[in-house]
Amino acid sequence: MIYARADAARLACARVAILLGWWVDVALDPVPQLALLPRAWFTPHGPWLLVPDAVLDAGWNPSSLLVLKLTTLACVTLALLGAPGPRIWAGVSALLLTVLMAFVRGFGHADHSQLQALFATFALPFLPAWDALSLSGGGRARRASDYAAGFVTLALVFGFPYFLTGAYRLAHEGYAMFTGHSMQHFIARDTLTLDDFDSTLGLALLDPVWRPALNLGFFAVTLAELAAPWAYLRRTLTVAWLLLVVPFHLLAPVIMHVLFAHNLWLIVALYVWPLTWRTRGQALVASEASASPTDRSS
Amino acid sequence: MRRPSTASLAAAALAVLLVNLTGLPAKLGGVTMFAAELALILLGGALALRSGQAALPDVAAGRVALRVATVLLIAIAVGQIGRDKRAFPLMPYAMYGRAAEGDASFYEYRGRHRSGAQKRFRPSTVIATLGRGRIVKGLARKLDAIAARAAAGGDPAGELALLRATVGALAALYNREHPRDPLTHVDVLRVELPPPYKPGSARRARVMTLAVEPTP
Repeated sequence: MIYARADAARLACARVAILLGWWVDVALDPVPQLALLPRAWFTPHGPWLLVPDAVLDAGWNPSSLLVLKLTTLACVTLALLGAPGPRIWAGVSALLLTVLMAFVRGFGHADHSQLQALFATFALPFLPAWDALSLSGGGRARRASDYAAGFVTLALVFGFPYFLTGAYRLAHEGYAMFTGHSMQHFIARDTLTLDDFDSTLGLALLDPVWRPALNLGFFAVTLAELAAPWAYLRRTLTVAWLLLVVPFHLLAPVIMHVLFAHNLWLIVALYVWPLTWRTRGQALVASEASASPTDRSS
Repeated sequence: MRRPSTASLAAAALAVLLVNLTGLPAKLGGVTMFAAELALILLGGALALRSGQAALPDVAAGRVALRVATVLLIAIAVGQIGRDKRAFPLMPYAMYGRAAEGDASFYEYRGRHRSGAQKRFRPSTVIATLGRGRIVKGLARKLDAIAARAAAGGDPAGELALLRATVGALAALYNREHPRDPLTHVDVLRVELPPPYKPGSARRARVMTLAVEPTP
């Protein structure tokens, strides 16, 4: 397992990565501007279904949304830094992020782009993620396996939605999904519809000559989605999974105008980075090996 | 009752996965397809949790963490089965999940500017948080609903007014950022792109033109 060498500092770094991703996301989000759109255009999702229309109408202005944004940002900051009561701040952050993310999905299409990061954030308050790198001074001594379990939990909640995506595709279409020209249809539709990116590289892949390669890639990505909840179990499996998932996430914005920035960030924090961990013994051997030529010359 | 071993869970999950891959449940549809997907979800979830537990060096380690993982995986699975996006964050994961073989159809927005220039108007870029298909797919859904209501002999005036107000608000925000050459009109085009999806083969038809009120 790639998390066998997890410790307090490493799990704390994962916590910082998750919350830093949110901090940047929320800080850059111009959510107050959404109140300049007609209130009638907004369709409540998630927690907003519980808010009475009268309250929503009264709060429909940029100032209210700015308060929501700044409160969320403040809670995320306190959880990130490990201010006293960090788990409470993390829990409140998870709730406020849910409220904020549900709000922005009320303007048309409810996308999945930040969901896996949100589930990882839900798990954080229950993990020993503030035993290091924390203003509140850290927690009690724990076994290394407790930190490994923290990473396993994050990997499970991050990986399971990928699995569900692959499962849905297989159950609803089977292998036929990878033999027709669905992939080219998706590329054409998304490149020409999703207008936050300007790249037209996807259109070059609409030539029929690309169809077999695209279908093979689509099948490989589906296999990677199905394998996601187990990707951390063996280093070789992790590497193979990363070789499929990382190019997929890097290519998706270029050829389909679909960007999963949080996922890429969490893939680095939960899979790429743990691959580089070494035990103290391995680090010692490596440093001795690099020092030996100098020793010989001296 | 004895708990099934990890190996037997893995074998069952693999068998269900292969059955799904044949496309047989999809062909049979209805309850069979749902049962095949549900079996895959349950076996996959159980196996993921069991593998996580087995990977840890001692059983007592991370008991709380794994309980949290169990609760969250169940919640995520319930969202998948519930199939209602309004239950955010417990939403279904169905993206790129159905074969799409016919025409790719979508809407395009052409901005007409005071200078006479005509450029593509990109609603997602006006307020960055509306990207990721949020606003363009919402607008497309509304345009489809207006067309369907009109085709059925109904009066889409209410929906049309809301669409005009929303595109108008987006255009006004755009004009605030581009005061030198503001938008005066937005043409909404319906685009049909038949297979094999060569961009030059697109058929475009103007659906409506929305006048943009001058920014005070």
